[in-house]
Amino acid sequence: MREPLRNAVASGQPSPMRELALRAAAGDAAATGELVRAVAPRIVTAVRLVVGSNHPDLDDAVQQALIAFVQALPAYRGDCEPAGYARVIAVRTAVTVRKRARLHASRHDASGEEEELVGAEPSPREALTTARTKELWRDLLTELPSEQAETLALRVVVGCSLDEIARETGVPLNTVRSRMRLAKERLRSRIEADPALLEALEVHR
Amino acid sequence: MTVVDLHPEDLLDKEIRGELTDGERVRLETHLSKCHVCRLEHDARALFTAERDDALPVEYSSKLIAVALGAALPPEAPPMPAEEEPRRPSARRVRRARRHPIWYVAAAALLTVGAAVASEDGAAWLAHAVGLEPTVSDRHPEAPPDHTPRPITMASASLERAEPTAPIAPTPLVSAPASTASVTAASLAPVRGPQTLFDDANDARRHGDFARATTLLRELQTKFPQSR
Repeated sequence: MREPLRNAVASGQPSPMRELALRAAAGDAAATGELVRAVAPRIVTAVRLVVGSNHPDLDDAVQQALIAFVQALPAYRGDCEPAGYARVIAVRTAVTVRKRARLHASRHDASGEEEELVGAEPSPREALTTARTKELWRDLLTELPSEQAETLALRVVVGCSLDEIARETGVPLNTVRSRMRLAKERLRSRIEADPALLEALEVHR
Repeated sequence: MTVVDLHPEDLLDKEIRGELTDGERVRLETHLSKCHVCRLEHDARALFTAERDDALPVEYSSKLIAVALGAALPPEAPPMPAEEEPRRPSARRVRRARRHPIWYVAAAALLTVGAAVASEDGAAWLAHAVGLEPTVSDRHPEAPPDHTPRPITMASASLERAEPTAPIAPTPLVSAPASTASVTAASLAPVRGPQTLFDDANDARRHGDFARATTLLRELQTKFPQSR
C-alpha cells in the first residue's frame, strides 16, 4: 500500500490521496500513519531546501513539520492535494525555524552564521559560492513577512509554479501574484541598499 | 534603473516547462536584463534545482517519521486489566512509565492531540484509542459505578494548567489518567517558557530520549500555540 501511495504523490493522482487524507482528517489513525509516510519525503525535501542541508536545526525542523502536518489534518477539507498541503506546512515551518535560528544567532553570536558556512565541509570554490548564495537566499526569506516568505520559498526554493502555489496554499492566483510582487519589492529594496549583498548574489549584470 | 512593474512570472514557469515561444523568450530576456529581482529569482530557481532532486536519505527520514508518528498517533490500545490494583502511588506510576517509554510517548501525544481536536468526535475517538473511559482500575473497587461522563478534554486541560514549578510532587489528578498526568508533570518540572521547552526538547531528541522530546514539543505547542 505504501509504494502505490508514494507513486500517487509523485504522479499527482488526486483521488486516492485525498480520500486517504480525508479519512485521516476524520481521525482514522491508520490512515494518518499511511498518509504521513506517503507525504514525508515531500515534507523532508521542502524543509531541507528552506532550512538548508547543513543547518543544525534541520532535524528539529523536519520533526516539527511532520507533527505540524498531523496537527493540521483535522482542518484538511480536500480542496487540494494532501502532498501540496503538506509541502506548504513544511515550508511554513521551515521558514519559522530558520527565522528563529537567525534571531537566536543574532542574539548570541553575531558571527554565528558566518562560522556555520566556514565550518562546512571543505568544498571546491564553486560549490562554496553556490552554498553561500543559497544561504543568502534563505536568510533573505527570513526578512520577509511570513506569507511573502512562504510564497517566495515555494516559488524560488521549492520551485513551484504560480498555479501550484495557489492550489497548495488555497489562495487565489492573484493573491499569489500580489505576494510575489510585494516580496520582490522588499527584496529589491534590501538588495539595492546593500552593495555587498548585490555583489554576493551576482545580480548586477 | 528601469524596472517593469509586471514581472513575467508566467514566462519563467513556461521557460522551465520548455513552452516559451520565440516572442515570449525575447520578452523574458528583455525583462531579465532590466529587472534585478527577476534575474535573481530566475537564477535562484536554477540554483536550487539540483538540491530539489537530491535523493532522500531513507534512514534519516524513517527515524524522524517514526518520532513524529509516535508523537501524533495513538498506538493500538491493549485491553486494560480490570483487576489492576485500584490506586498506586504517583511516584510508582512515574517509574513504571519511565520503564515503558512507548506508553509515555503515546499518552503525552494523545493528551495533546486531544487538545487539538477537542470536539465531541475527537474526544470520543481519543477516549476509545487511549482507553480513557472510566474503568474499574480508576475507581475504588467497592465504590459505586460512576455514571458521570468524564470529558476527555479534562486531561488536556489539566495538563495545560499544570504549572511547571520545580520540584513537582506528582499529585494524582482525580479525573485524569493518573499515570499520564503525573508522568508529564514530573518530566516537565523544570520547564518554564517556550524557548526553554524548545531547547529542552531538542536536547532530549539529540540524546535519543524521543519520549521526552515528544512530550516537550507537544507541551510547547499546546501551551504556546502562537510561539514560533
